[in-house]
Amino acid sequence: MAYLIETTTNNPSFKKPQFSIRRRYSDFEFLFHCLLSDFPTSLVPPLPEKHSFQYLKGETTRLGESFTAKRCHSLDKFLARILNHPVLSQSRVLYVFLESADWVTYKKNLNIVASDESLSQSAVDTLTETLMNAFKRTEETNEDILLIHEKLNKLNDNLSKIEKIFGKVSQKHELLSLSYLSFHKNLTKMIGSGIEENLTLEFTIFNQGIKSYSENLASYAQYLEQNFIVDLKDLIALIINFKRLLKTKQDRKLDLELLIGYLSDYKYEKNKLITQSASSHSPMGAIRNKLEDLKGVNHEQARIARINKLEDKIKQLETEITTQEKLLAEFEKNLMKEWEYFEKVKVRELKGSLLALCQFNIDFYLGAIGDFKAIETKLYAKYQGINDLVEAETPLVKEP
Amino acid sequence: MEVLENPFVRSTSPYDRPATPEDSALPPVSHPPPDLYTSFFADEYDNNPQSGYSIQEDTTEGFMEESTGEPVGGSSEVGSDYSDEASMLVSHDQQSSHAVNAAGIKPQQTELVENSMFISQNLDISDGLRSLIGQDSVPVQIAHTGRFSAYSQASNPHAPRQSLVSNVIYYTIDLNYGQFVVQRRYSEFSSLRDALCRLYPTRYVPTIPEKHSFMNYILGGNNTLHSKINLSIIEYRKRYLTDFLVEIIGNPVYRPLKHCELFIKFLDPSESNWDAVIHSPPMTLIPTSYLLANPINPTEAEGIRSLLPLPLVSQINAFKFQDTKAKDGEAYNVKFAQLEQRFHQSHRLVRELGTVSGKLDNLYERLIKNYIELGGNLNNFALTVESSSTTFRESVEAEDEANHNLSLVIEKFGSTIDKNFLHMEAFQYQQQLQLHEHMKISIGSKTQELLKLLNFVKLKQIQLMLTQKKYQGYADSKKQIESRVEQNERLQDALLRGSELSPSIAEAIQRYETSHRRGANGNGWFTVFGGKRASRPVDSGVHGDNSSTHSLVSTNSSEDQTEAHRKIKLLDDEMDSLKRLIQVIQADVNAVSEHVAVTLDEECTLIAQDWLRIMMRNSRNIQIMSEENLSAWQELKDEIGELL
Repeated sequence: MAYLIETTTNNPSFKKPQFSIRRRYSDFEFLFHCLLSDFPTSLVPPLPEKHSFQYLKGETTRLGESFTAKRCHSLDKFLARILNHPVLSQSRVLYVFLESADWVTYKKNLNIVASDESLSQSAVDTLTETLMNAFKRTEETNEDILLIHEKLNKLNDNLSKIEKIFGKVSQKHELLSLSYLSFHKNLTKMIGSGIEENLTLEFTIFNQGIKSYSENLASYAQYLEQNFIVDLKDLIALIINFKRLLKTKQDRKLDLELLIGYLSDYKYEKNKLITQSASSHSPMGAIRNKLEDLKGVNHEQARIARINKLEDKIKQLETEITTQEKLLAEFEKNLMKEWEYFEKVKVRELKGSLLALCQFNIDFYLGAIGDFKAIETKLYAKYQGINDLVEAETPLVKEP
Repeated sequence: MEVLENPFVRSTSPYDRPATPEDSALPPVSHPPPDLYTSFFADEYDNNPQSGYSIQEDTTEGFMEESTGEPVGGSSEVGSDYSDEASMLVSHDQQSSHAVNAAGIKPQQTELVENSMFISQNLDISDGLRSLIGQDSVPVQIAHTGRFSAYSQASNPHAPRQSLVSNVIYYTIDLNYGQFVVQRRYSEFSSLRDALCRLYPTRYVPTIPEKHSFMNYILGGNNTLHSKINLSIIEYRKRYLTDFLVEIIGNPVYRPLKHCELFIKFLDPSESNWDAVIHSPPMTLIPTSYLLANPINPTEAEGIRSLLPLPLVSQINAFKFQDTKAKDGEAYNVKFAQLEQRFHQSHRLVRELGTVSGKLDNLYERLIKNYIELGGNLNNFALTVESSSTTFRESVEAEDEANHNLSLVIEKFGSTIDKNFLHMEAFQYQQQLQLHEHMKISIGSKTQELLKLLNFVKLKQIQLMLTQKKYQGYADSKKQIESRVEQNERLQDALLRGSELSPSIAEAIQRYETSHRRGANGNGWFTVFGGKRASRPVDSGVHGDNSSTHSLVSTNSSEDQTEAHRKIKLLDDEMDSLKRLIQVIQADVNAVSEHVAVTLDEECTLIAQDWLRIMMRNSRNIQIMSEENLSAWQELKDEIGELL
């Protein structure tokens, strides 16, 4: 199963303003992992989930079709999100993905990076890391990030609930559709048995209306399930990715704190060595002195050498820490940018899916009104006809 | 004012019956001042059956209060006299002498005419009622239900009866005729319908809601937990009973019903003693079994129909319209057979459709619940979005605005969903009433009733068949006797001649005569008319003496002959009356077939109309809901376009 991607652009770096290309899900996956490794501090939009095989088995079955439709809708959003991202949209890999026929070779060259093995490896790494870090937690101090975190949690809660209820609504519509269908079947049976022969035409018209109403309800359920609910789920997935990003930043901070810890350890040791000359009463110092005596090393010289060594290490660590601090600051700054991006995406996507939902509802109800207005008019004509007949005929019976 | 109904108590408790001995033993209740009434009325929700005053006593109390309330001089005296009479009346009533009751009330009324304006007002009402009912569209509806048992305001005699304590639900019929209302209980509706059915056995009388079943009591009962079910049952009955009245008054097909004296009395506020009305002419003129009455005009007193045979249940079940050989009925019978099948099918179909629409109701209800939940959650969501714009320190202004607008949109989305659920709720209610209930009543119950009419035709035809059979039986017996008499005469002639020649023949004659006489004497009338024993072989025991054979033969045979002639005469009489009966019932069968055919034709047209109406209303309901929802979504769409 391949997905056709059509691109229209005014970016001069592309060869043509309009082009299209086919990509498989695995290609999307590859793109995703490239972006993830290239831009670790950016909010890479989530891919639709890999589903278990039973869904994939039959692409021709209804379940398979609905699955493909949902995935298509999600993948479309995935690309739209990347293209709207200030950093990701400029990535080389995206350009290749969208345009180049060399994608396959490009992919092969980078195969080592994105091979499944390395993936699983990194997964194990992150797992052990999280296990280790689980015991060492660092307090978030950046208030903005704290706020972001809180908001993401709230949004996640709200959206999950809403998404769940929409799931129920969709399910009810499907059941309603089924009930209307059995109503339709009963009426069909009745028309067949000719109970109200004079009304066969009218019953058929009405029954047709019920049938199409049932179908419309089914497509309403389908729309909710394949579009609106998918939109909500994708937004939730983006929120979760954002939270993951926050976690990554937090891990970096933890690393930094570790480095700082080492630094202070070294500094402490250095200070101790410096002060040792004055008083070397510690048992360890005494043993070392004995050893050095045995080796015939000058105590003073060895001490100075050690101090120098430590100083080197401290210097190294300090530069490392400053770069890490810089990186972290950048990360945090970037996070604010990512938040901006997220807010934009949120507003844009919610607007889009709400507008689409509105439009779908409008179409649904317009259709129902049209159908049943026509039906009512036809039924009314017959009703009037019968009424006129009755009025002409009454009174029929003499009153006793 | 709607109050819980206790169906079980209502249908079987002593409160439902005319006053019990304990009640009548109580002194006449003196009415508390009006303010006490209101306080009692406020406590009406307490299900405390403290007193068992029945409708009879209530209404007479009401009467009394009216008369004492009048400013006419001396009326208070009349009132107190009357109250004594009232309790006396009640005790009469216990002895279940309705006729006495009915007769007893009349002079009191005339007495009251002189003393109070109330009754003269009532005369106006009755006259007005007649002309009012003459119109085709009468705004009639059942305005209230509640446990009313006494008038609350003495100043307005036709104000609803309000309760001190009562377990009986009254349906207040608002005729939109002045400010007059009538209050009738369910059982009174029920007896009205029964009476109408008996008065017009070939007509369809609109149905009223079925009685509460025991299951309903178990499910609904007196339990406050199920008060919702109970209230909905009362609402259902109210609608149903209103439809009943509206149908009879408004539908030209039921014109004879609404001009019926009984129906007018039912709507007459001055007819407070409905039980008496039901147990007085014309109802008392109808024979106990409706099968013995004139089917076209049951009150007509004709003795001959009391001779009609009463068919057994098994005979109705076995009877098929095609089987009958009634000459004139035949044309109808083909039609009846078709209709019978059609009604059965319709009934079944309505039941099936009812199940489906019940499912739909249930689904809509659940969907509405989801929407309600959704509306609340969307509001929370809107708040979250809103807060993310206001609490964020470094956020850009444009972003703030975007979030604010998004929050507004989500809020609007929530209110759209809320609107949706309100529209859907209204839709579901209408569907339940118009699709489900209407179909059940105007087609399901109706076809059931029409099948009963067809059964009536069947019964009449069975009666005809049975009568004809009986006549045939008589005719056969007569023929048998006649042939025997003839044979006897011939034989006697021959024997008389033969016995002179041969003693053995004389002996045989004697033997025959003896046995014959024994048979005739021992077995009586029936044996002669083709009874089994008459055809038995002649017994061997011969006791007669051999002498005087001649005389025996001659005397016996002459006795026999007279006996036989007497029986033939009897049979002739029977057959004559049967012949007349057959003529009558044949005419009845024809008339019933004709009338029922007309009724069924009318009802089939009505059913067709009802089907159309149901489909039209259904279409309309969907349209209304769609239009309302459409405008809600359209608004939301515009709002989104504007804000984002």
